[in-house]
Amino acid sequence: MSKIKTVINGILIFTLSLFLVILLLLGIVKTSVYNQESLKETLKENNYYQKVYTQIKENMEDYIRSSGFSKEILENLYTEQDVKNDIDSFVSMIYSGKVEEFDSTKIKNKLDENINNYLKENNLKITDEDSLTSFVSELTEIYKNEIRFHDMINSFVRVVPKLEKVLNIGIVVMLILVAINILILYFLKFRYQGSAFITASLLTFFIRFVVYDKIDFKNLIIFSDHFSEILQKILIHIADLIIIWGIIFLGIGIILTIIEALIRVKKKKKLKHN
Amino acid sequence: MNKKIIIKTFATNVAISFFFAAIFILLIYIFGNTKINYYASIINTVAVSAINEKEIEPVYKVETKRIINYPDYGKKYGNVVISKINLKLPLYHGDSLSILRYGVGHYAGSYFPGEGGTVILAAHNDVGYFHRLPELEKGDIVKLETNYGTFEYKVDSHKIVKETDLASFPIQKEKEMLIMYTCYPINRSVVGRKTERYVVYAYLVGDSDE
Repeated sequence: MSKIKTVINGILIFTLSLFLVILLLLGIVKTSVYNQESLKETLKENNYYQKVYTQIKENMEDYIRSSGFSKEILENLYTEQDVKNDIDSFVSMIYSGKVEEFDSTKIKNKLDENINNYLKENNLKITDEDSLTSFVSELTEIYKNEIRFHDMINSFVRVVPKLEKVLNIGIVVMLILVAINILILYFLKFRYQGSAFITASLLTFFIRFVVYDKIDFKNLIIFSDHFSEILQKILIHIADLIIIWGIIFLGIGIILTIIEALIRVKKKKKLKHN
Repeated sequence: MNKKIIIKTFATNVAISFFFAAIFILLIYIFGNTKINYYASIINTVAVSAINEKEIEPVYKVETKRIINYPDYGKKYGNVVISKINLKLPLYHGDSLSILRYGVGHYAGSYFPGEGGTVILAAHNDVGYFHRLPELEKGDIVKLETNYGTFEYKVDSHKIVKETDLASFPIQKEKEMLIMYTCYPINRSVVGRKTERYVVYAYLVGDSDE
């Protein structure tokens, strides 16, 4: 092989391994983070809906403790199914990129009804209507904040579809570049194609171990404990996918190397005969 | 001969792979290491380290009125004892609603007992919490039994204030003052969001461990 061809061969292997790693990372983000159904499945498997239901109940009970009201006013305010539906709507809202106001009418009306019944049964009167209004409003906020966390998440929601477009374009571009690269390597009969995949696998292992070593993923706490648990599960799942694909790239690299070796053996045998 | 070719092909491919991987890693290290460390440190600020099984006890320096190894937020670090109203409640660092469920919360923005400043404690007005706070009179003793020392305070005064009246909760370091408060009115005939607070002021008598 001439020197120029050797250099071009080297460049093509270098770029192919880089494109493979980028394509892998983009693909993992697309199939894990940008997969609504996969996310809802993760929420279900980790009993997220039930944990949020329980947390709302505890937070509301804590809030009413000094109010003079008993836990009776919280009865039948919402069900676990209501919580699930609201969380699923919130997830859908994030992926749609359209911010929708949280409809707290159902909870507010039920709470008003429970409070009025409690007041009648216990022969109590409200002297300060404003404080009762803000009491109901804050209880409703407790429900909303456990489902949707903070309103600042709305600015993130608007960016989600734009990011997805960029991701999709990135994946298509990488696929084309990888395909072109492989075709050039194959048709111009360049060698050491297996090394591109082995390089890609070494890089994926490097990314997995170095990045995950620097960031304390297992102890991340954001918003709430159960949200953090889901986030940790997703990040650990991504880490596992990176390892799996690293092994797949290694396997492909070894197979291509074996094929190349066998072709060279065959060529040598032909030459011997001739 | 065939074996030689196969081994040579493998060795060359692996050597090329390691060579290119090393170039990539070197490039990342040269151009990206600082940025990676920077973003990793930002992400790690929201990481809470796993709790060690061996918790380090706080240590109190009497001469300088300083505490080494403050209790973690959310941790119990003592008891509030008020014999007059037959009260003994666990004392926690922090005063979130989930902490107040278990006892007395210490407002994290105030000083710790023994530091010579304002210590602000809160608890619910429920039975078993601070519902008997209005029974305290001038001269009554409040003890804070912490895991680094016991501190006694003598009740001086009380008042009812609006929840937004921050001037009634002065954070200062001239004198060790204990402020205990709870939602008001305390009686359950008044329901709803309580916008007033029953506040008791007390001053440090002495450190019982001295």
